[in-house]
Amino acid sequence: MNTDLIRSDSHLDNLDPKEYIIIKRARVNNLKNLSVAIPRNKLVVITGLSGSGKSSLAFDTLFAEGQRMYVESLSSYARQFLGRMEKPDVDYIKGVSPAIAIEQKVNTRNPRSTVGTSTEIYDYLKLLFARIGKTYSPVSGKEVKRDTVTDVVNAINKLPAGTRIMIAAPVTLAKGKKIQDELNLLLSKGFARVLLNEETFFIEDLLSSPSPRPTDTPLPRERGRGEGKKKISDKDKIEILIDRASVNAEDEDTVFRISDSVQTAFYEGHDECLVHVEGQKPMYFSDRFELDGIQFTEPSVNFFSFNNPFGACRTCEGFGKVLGIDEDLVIPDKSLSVYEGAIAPWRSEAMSEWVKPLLKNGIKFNFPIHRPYNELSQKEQQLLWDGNPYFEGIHAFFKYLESKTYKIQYRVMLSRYRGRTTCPDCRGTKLRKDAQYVKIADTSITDLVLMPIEDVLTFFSGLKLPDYDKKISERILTEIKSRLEYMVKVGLGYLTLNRVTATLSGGEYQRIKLATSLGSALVGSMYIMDEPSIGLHPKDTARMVEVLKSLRDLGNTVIVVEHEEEIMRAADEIIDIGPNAGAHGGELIFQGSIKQLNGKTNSHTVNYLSGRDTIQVPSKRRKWKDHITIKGARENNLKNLTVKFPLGTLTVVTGVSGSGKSTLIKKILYPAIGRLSGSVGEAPGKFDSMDGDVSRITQVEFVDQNPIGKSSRSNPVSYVKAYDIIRQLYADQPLAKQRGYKPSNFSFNVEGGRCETCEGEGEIKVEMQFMADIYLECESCHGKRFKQETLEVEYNGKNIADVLDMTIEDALDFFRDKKPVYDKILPLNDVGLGYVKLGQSSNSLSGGEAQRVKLASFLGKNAAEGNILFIFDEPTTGLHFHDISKLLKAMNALVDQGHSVIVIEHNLEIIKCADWIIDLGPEGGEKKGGNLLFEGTPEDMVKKAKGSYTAEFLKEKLG
Amino acid sequence: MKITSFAKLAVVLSVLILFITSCQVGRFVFRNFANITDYRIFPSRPLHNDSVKFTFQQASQARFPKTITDKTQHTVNFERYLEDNKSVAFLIIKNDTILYEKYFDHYEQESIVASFSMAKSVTSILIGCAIDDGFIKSVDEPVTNYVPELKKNGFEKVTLKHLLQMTSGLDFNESYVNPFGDAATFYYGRNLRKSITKMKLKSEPGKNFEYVSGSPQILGLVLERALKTKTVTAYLQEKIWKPLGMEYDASWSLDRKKNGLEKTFCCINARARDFAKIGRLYLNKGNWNGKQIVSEKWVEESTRVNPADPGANFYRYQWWLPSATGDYMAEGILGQFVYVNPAKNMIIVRLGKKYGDADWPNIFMNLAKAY
Repeated sequence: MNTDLIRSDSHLDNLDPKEYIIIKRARVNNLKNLSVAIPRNKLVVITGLSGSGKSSLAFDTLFAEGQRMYVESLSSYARQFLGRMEKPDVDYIKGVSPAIAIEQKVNTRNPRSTVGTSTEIYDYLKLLFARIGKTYSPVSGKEVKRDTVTDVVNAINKLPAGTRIMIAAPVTLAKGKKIQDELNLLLSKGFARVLLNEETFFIEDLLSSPSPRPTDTPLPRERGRGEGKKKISDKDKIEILIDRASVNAEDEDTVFRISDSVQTAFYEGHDECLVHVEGQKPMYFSDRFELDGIQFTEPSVNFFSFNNPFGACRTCEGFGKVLGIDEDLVIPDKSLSVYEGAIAPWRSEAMSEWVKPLLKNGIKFNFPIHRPYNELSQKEQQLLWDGNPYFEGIHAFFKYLESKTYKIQYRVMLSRYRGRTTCPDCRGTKLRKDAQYVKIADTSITDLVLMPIEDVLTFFSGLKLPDYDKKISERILTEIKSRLEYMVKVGLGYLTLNRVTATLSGGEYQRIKLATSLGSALVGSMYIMDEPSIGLHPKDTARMVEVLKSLRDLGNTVIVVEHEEEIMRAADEIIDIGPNAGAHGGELIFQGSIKQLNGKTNSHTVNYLSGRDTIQVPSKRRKWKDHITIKGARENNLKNLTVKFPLGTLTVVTGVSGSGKSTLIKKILYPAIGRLSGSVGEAPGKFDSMDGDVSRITQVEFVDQNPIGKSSRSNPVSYVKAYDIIRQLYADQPLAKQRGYKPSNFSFNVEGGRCETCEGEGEIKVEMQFMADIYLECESCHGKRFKQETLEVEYNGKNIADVLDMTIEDALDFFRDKKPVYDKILPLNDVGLGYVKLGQSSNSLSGGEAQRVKLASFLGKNAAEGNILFIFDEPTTGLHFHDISKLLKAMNALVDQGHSVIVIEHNLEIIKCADWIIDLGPEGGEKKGGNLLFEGTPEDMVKKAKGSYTAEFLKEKLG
Repeated sequence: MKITSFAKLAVVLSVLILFITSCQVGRFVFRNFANITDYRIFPSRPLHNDSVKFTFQQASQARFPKTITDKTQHTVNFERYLEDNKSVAFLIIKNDTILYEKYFDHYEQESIVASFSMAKSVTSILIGCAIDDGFIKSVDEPVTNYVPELKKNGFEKVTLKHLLQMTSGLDFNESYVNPFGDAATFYYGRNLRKSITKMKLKSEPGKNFEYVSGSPQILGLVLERALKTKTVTAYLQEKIWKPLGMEYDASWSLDRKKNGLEKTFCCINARARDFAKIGRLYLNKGNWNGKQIVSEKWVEESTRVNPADPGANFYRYQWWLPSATGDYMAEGILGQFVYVNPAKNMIIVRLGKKYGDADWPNIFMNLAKAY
């Protein structure tokens, strides 16, 4: 039931658009009149090789139509700004739901947007802390409370019944006022008595008596009028006696009277009130929000909002960073000790005056000058900055420089160490400092946002609240917890809520958006996702599948562009586009569930999934003589390893995650060799020595899946350096010469020949606030990227824009007579990129394609001289099986040209094709990892290696 | 009565003015240390370029940040910030295209601005050229090969490299506020050659870095002697001003009118765009549109730290290295800069009346990051 599922057009017309999203005869990009009916409310995976047209179907057709229909629904006023959106090239699309694309692109560059705000978790946290957060004084650590009238009455009623009490209000003299005036005022307000040193006096007496008698009677005892006269001065502390009563909690009248009096006391005492109890210290109440002499601000939502001037940190104004001395620049290598010169500005002869006293006196205050900086305790590190009586610290040093900035050399020195540093007041959380005083279960909002999300979830799961708070926060807590759970589920438990969104990788951002979509519980939409498994640890893939399923179960259609096997297996339906890439793709090859995989088909995906297609095990392993030996590798968890790396072979370094493979290669081998050729600046990790045939290596290249250029201006043809020759070719044409064009006129990167409206981009970006950005074709060059005059120059009937629009395959044909160009672009075809266009911007290339473009630049005639050591870090991530086999081909081609390849990998397809295997393990981590388990050929490994997971799996593959 | 006292005062004043303008201390008191219009008061040798001019491409639309965050974390308008901090010219050039060019405070493209210490970097380029041309053998030659008068002051161990690296151990007071300091003597003095031969050492050469204007001035004399018949200005014109296709004529200030010596520690008087071309020369590793003006090796040595050399890790051959990322710059006292960032293929020129309250190198680095 595979190929017959490709419905005939008439069948398509009769389907119910309530059950299917129906696309009839799509011709976008390389799609070949593709018709497909995608079932609603299902998890559908669209797969295929790189460049087969799966993104054209998912994004350029489905999503583009969804977006266009949204725009259609806007008012004509709003539409005039966006009206130029084109309908995808398709007969019709029926049943499109509101489309939400979750792409691997970080759309925000706003420095204020964080993981917390973009997931809305922070909004709920603000609310939570504003409602149930308790403020604690940083001085005494006691809770800051405002005493309400009820609090005071309750306290009084707790006293034994019949206890005699006095309610009083303290009098504060306003500046310049005399006590006599104040007393007169009180008298006229109707108060009769005051308390002076806890004794009661009639106000009249205090005012009239010239020499009051001292009294020895303790309080509270009333004196007769005229008794106990006292001379009063401005310095005396007096209290207005508001009321006297005896406690009787049962009697409503008494309680009412007391409340009334307390109210009056707060009024007269400017929010302060005292309750004197016989034989006890007076009880003090304050209606103000203060403690230990500090006036606190009562928490509110704005108080925790760093985008609001009220809540923003005063020091950094809500940016989290300040311009200061950057610790990473001052101490660039934290594995050095102070003695070895950890403090960079003090290394020079002249500045060593600053470090000398520390080295000399360190012993006096027990400072370990020989211990690496990163092993010093936090206190000791701080001491280096602050200094002590024996030496002046780093802070003092920079103060000194600042005082001498009239000297150019100090100005430049300062500039060298200045950078954006974490704000010391808010610890980078952008919040005002006193927001940290508000806590729930001894944890402040700043503590929470600085914790990894996993820990935040643990905190909220174990949170025990008093009943009252529980009631208030119930709803908020549910929202917070569910969002945190989704974040952990999509494998982002390691992020902090404070992490700035703009610094996230594309995959992380995509998964955040996914988690947010789940949280919003939107129903009936169409989610379109681009390879959500990228950058995900295999152990997290299963949880990712769960998330996708729950999104579907909410009632959404989930369409995923993906070639991760596990996700394909979980799909309700797989749509395979192919059979090959580019012009040889764009057809629907297979549609159906994984169970329907049988029968003969030309689908690479099906063939690999069903095990019919495999990557061939090479019959012969390459022999080698030359090698490099690393001795005594001890970085991280490596256990003093001595490892031989053969040259002129395909070597695979393998082992479980955390076994130390990356440490050995990326931290030791790569920098150690790179330093010899001067291409790598970083210092290698700990090891004793490197010997062997190091001199055979002329260069070391680290190949990763990072895009070959982040800008839309880099492209395959410029990366393999063929574009320079092509430009020269165009500049040599008669018309170009006649007009005096230089090669630079044929570049879209510099001014001259390019279209200036779009600055050679060919398209103009329109930022949409709540949707993905829209790219519109440039109106003045119609996407050609060049000025009309430039385009008039032709070579063999094609202008420069036509050339950029050619596929590599076509270009090989076109440039057959131009040997230099031909030779440069041939390798691109060899690595299987024949379908890619010469001028395709590199940010539209997939990771796998980018990797192969990089390889192509080293392949081919005269491309790379000497013997290069290539290091690959997990090159198969995100690659379709078929692409893996192409990659292997390219790697072997490099080895055949005399280069050496070392691959860090746990993909068995690659391991089984290795000439030499280096296996680390047996487990991950500090204790169980870091041992060398095996060195040798795959065949030997199966025979000899025991206790290695890799060997177990390899056995199956080699059969 | 009134008139006579006024006349007396006038006489006293005019005598005073006569006195203070006739010696270096007096000129210092009269004019203070330095001003970007000082080129008008000094005699100078002219620099001409009568051959083809080189002009940068001009972006049709200026590209520059709208705002900038100042020291107090306030966001302020970028151009306002430049103006408030006493800039007179600001140029941002990337891929040979001027993306931003703005002049402030009545200055314009044609306005002459004194280079101040940026001239040190130019002197260094000329030393490189002189080595290429065989006038000077190597940087390891002792300075006394060219200025034997300094033997009596114990300069035998001081090499040209020490002078280039500011590690000569020269006893030189670089104060810009002291009218009796060496910097004032060199700036206002009228016999540099004599002043040079009076110089002393205070510490062993090759040890400590200390930025002093004496070193490049000695290099100036070395250059003059090595060139024999040519003046330093003529050499600059031949090696740089003409081949680089400078758009404007310029001049190099001298200590005196007759047979003067160029002030090689300061005082090339030129326009912002032409200063930028000095940056472009080094950005292209000494090559100017196919012609090697100064050897690539020299540019490399001048702009990249060599851990084997003693001295500062932020200074090479009269160029400042504001970070460890491969950028470098020439800097003058009033915040004159030619900043070069090879990774970004960028040149930034800032000229000013005053340094202003700004961390220019950091601004350049951040600008480079943003482009």
